[in-house]
Amino acid sequence: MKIIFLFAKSYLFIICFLCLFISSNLNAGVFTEDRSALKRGARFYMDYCSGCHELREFRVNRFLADLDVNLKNPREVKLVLSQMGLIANDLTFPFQSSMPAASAKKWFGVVPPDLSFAMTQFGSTWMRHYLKAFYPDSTRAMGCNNSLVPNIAMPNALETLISKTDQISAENFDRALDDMLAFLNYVADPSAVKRRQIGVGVMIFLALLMFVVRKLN
Amino acid sequence: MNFFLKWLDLRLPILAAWRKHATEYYVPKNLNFFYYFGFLMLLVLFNQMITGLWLAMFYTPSADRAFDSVQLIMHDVNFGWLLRYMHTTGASFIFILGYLHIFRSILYGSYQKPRELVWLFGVVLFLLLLAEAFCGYLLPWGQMSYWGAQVITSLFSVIPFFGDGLMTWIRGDYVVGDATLHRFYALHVIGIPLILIFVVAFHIFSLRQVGSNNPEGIEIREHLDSAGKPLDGMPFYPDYMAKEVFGLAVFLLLFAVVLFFAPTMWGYFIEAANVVPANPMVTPDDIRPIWYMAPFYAMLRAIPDKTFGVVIMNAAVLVLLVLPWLDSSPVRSIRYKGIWSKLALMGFVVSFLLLGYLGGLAVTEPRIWLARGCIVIYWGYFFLMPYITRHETCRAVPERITS
Repeated sequence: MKIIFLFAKSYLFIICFLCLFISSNLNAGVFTEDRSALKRGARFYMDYCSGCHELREFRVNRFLADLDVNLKNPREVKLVLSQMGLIANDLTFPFQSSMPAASAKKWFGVVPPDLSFAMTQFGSTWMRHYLKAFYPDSTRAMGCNNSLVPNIAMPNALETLISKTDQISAENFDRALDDMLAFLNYVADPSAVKRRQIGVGVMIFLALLMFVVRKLN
Repeated sequence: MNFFLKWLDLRLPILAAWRKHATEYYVPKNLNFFYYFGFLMLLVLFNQMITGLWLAMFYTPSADRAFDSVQLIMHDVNFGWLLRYMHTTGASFIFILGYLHIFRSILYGSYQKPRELVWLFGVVLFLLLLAEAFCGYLLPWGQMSYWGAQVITSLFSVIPFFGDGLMTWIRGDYVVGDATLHRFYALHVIGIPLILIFVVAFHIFSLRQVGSNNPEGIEIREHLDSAGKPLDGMPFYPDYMAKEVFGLAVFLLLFAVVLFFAPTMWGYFIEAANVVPANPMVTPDDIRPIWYMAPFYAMLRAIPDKTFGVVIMNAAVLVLLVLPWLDSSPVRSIRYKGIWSKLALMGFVVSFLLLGYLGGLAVTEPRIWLARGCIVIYWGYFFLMPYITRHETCRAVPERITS
């Protein structure tokens, strides 16, 4: 018993580090570090979600900085913004939706919630399931219902993607959805990118320190 | 350098203090990793105070702006996310370390004579830490913060005669609100930390007066050499500090792993339900406290009567105060106690862990009964201890530390 314990102790930190490092990067299949995924996700969000949903905690200037865009170069900024379908006159202004709250209440009965923390609250598995769970229902005002959250006021915003106009294959739909969820994941925790980068450096330093200090004994 | 030391020593007893507490203070030579947790807690407490100071520069303690100010720290303040995560990771770590620290004392009988006062100060510190964490948890003003505070402050109403008045007095209003947030902020930032610092000082002074216990439970001060130094001891500086620094390095590595790669610990360190701003009109389906309060919350929930539940929950912590007098064993350490003590301790630990696990889950009928069983075992450990320790056969403790 004691031997097993002593053995496990000496490798505890390595096991701990590896497990946490690997698992925190898995994120149910939604990677945050992939910058092009973030850009595509932002585009997807602007096209299909930003009409109704606010993103109060989204900072455009910080997003651009995390994408390694040179903020001092206005042409580069404008190019990247247009790639993402973002319209932002003031890069530091909290991201709002163009739908007035009063109108939203009249049309849907409820103001569409802010999605800044949607990923933290619900997780990517639930979000994916929810967005795919819409089905046609003629008894509802918006013509559709959701099997995961019955009688929800939200219409099927992604209907055009899978039915008529912008029709894409199921595989591409899944990929696009993953990109969008990666983007929302970023909005919920923008520090994640920088945090992991700094973390690797800190781990290496502390591991070296630990081996050096061992020699003191 | 010598000149400055002499100048200072004439005016402050620094050289005498250095000799008394560092170079000529002896600790047992067989101290294991369980003995690192105390000083690591001191380090994390220091971390909480420094990161807390910086967070307080940006946080606004009013109901309408608290949540947004936390988001300001996370998104707009340079390295604000790091400050916030260091503070929350530190809060969870101080409890992990604290529980292991208490476990060490129970394991090796460090609460027995002459260390009862160290233990008493320690229990007071545990209570203060719980209060500090509880006040701190309200500050982000999320749904779980608000409703957790609402539930726990409502428990004060079980006190007869002045319970309701006391509850309103604590809250500062009829329900948890802006007034509560302001006073909990004051308590969290200065009220409790000030008391904590004093009690930590007394905890350490009372320990140094009697010296550390060790895993064998042998009193090293009983066997001195001709110079008056314990034969089985090592000087704190430089020998024991060299050992401690290694423990520090390992701890920093674990802390950094959690801080940089899993600061929310998948909802256990920062709860997912708390990203929704507090709404007094909407009660969450499941109100539960953070993981380190879960065992006691499980006890509260398992008992149908509110008053009795509150009594049992509080008594579960307060019974620790009388532990030195419940243990009438002739030996200190679990290594030399009889089989019944070992079984009782194992039952105690398992029931505590199980209660912690159940506290994080929703209530169902079988889980309630399991929690009740665990409460019986938890309390059994304390009630049976006087009888077990008096009548069991212990092994003979050696005179000297041999390992």
